[in-house]
Amino acid sequence: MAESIKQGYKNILDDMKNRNITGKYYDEAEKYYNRLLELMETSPDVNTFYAKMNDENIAVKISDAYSRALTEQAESANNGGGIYDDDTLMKMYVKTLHDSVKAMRESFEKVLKEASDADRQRIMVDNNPEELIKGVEELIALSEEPGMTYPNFLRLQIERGLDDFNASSITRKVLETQLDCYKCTISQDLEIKVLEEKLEAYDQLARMNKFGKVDAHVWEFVEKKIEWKYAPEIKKRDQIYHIFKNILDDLDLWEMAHCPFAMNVEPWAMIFDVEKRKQAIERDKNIMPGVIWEYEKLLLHYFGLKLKDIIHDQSFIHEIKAYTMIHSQEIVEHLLLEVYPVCKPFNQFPQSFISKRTEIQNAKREENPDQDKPFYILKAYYDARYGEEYMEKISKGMKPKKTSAAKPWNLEEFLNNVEGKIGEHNLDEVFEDQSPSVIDKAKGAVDVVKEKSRKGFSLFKKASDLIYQIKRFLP
Amino acid sequence: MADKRMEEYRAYYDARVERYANNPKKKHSFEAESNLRDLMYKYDSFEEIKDNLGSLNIDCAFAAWQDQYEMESEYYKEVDDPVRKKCADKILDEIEKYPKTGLSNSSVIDMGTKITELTNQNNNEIYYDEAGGKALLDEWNHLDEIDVYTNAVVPGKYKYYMQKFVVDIKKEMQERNERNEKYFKAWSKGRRIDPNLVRENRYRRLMPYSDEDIEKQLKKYKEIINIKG
Repeated sequence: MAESIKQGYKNILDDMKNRNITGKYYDEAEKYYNRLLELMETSPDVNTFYAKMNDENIAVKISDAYSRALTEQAESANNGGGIYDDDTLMKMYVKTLHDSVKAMRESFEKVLKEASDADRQRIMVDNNPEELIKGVEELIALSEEPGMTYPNFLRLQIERGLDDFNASSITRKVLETQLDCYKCTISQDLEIKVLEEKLEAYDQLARMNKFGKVDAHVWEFVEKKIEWKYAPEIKKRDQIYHIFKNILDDLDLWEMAHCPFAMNVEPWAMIFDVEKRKQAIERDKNIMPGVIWEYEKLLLHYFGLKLKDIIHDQSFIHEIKAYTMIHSQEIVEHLLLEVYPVCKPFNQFPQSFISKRTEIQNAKREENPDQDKPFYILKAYYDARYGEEYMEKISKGMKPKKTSAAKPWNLEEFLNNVEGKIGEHNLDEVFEDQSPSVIDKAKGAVDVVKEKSRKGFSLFKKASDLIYQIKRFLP
Repeated sequence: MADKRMEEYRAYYDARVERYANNPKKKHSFEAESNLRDLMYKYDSFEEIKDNLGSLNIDCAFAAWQDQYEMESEYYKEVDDPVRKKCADKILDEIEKYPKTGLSNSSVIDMGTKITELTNQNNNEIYYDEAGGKALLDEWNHLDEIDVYTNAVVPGKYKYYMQKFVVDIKKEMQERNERNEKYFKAWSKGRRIDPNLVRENRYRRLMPYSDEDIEKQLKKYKEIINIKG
């Protein structure tokens, strides 16, 4: 990254040389460029380099010298009668437009290439520059209209709301596209509400303008305000679901730990050492009920909610509607209605559940069969908008695989099956460690030794046995 | 009598004014652009316009900045963010130092440079503010995990594992904090990240928890990362 910054400022110096700029501003730019090089050499890490660059305002000083040099050169060209004519100005402007289209596409492709699979879809929705690029291409087309002159080109840009695309301008079309995409790809209600409110605010501002346009700087703060307004609600929603999801996933984990296939599924399959894998499974069988119990207490304390309320949680419902729920309906119903009621510290896990879960697992019905749908929904959206195979091109041909034989989710049926039927734990219940305590085991060991000593063992053997027995049961 | 080219340029400058009409947030731009537009109508030749231009075009740049930073100051006042508001106010103070007429191209460069310097300085303040203000929210779920694994009822033989798990979570939090502090040291001139900033409204409003729970978790977090006060 530091190399690319260095190259950027080297390009400035090279540009000044190419323009035959010499004198105090060139000397100034060169002086600070050399300081940049010195900082690169002497800084122990990239972060320190950036901090020092910032402290000394190196970037600002180089840019400042460059700007002054260009201005001075332009002013002397102006005084010498060397002012650009309209045709030249038009050509320079249109070249900038072509360069900006190229830069936007290259930047988008680079970001997609470097993104993880999880982020790629979000980036394709939120950061796709195609609508902005369409605006720029309209400008280029405008410049090529027969008889177009430079002042008319400038005027028409303003009148058509195309004049400040460089300022990351927003147009109604960009907002509409984003909202359209969010609805097509089944985004969460709050996120859609935010966009709808933005569109309404945009229209209100546009009505006040003769050209129906919204100034980019004005828009920046209107948009920020709307996002600021909804941020607490979105955060609360996410924190609530974080706990709900933890409990549901831990119930699943607790059940799987009892099943014969546990050794072959995640998370335990990731433990290469077979003995350690077995120990982890045994441990999770025993600790998960206590962990789940504590998460339930937090859910109640923070938000006044119990597990049964999950079926009305907006994020839970959203995962089902948007096909991002990983569990099948069959598994979630089983977990909520059957597994959850018996999930208490020290409880025996019912053998019937082990058989049931193993059967589901073997028949490949544990996962949501529609997890590939989000990809195809987005594909249909993009193909309709930007042409066939657009999605394949930007996702590099990667497609999700369908592996589950489960029945697809039916939300209405699910709610009907579980509403009012999910049990409630009494979170004030106190549990006693049912497993033999160290003292009990040590007492037992002493009893064994006493018995054996009655049968004529030596005193030394008695002490050894007692120590051995006690040591066995120490944690 | 104006020629066709002049008429086209006048129409362009009319559009420049009209885009800011009826917009109270662009009042300075509207005034500056109107003055420039009036010049285009005052003379029929480009030579005369050039001779009488003065700094009217430069005034438009300063007017745009004034509008932008007044909006910014107003917005950050509304959302109660004094850290970001400070930058906008400093920039407005700098703009006020310039005369209303007679500005030159180098004035634009000077002001542009000043804006960049002030923005960069303010970015440092913002990093410091956010690093502290968001620390507790970023670590909240881990703090919950500590409570869960500390209090969970489990068979005696697993208590050691639960305790170790808690120790590991705390160690990871300490390591994350150390990395952040190390990163931040270069920018913060010796200040430690301050998680007490979570109490400021701009961060507090994002925490869906009671004041009591926040204070409890804040105390625990500060103990873990060894911050006093």
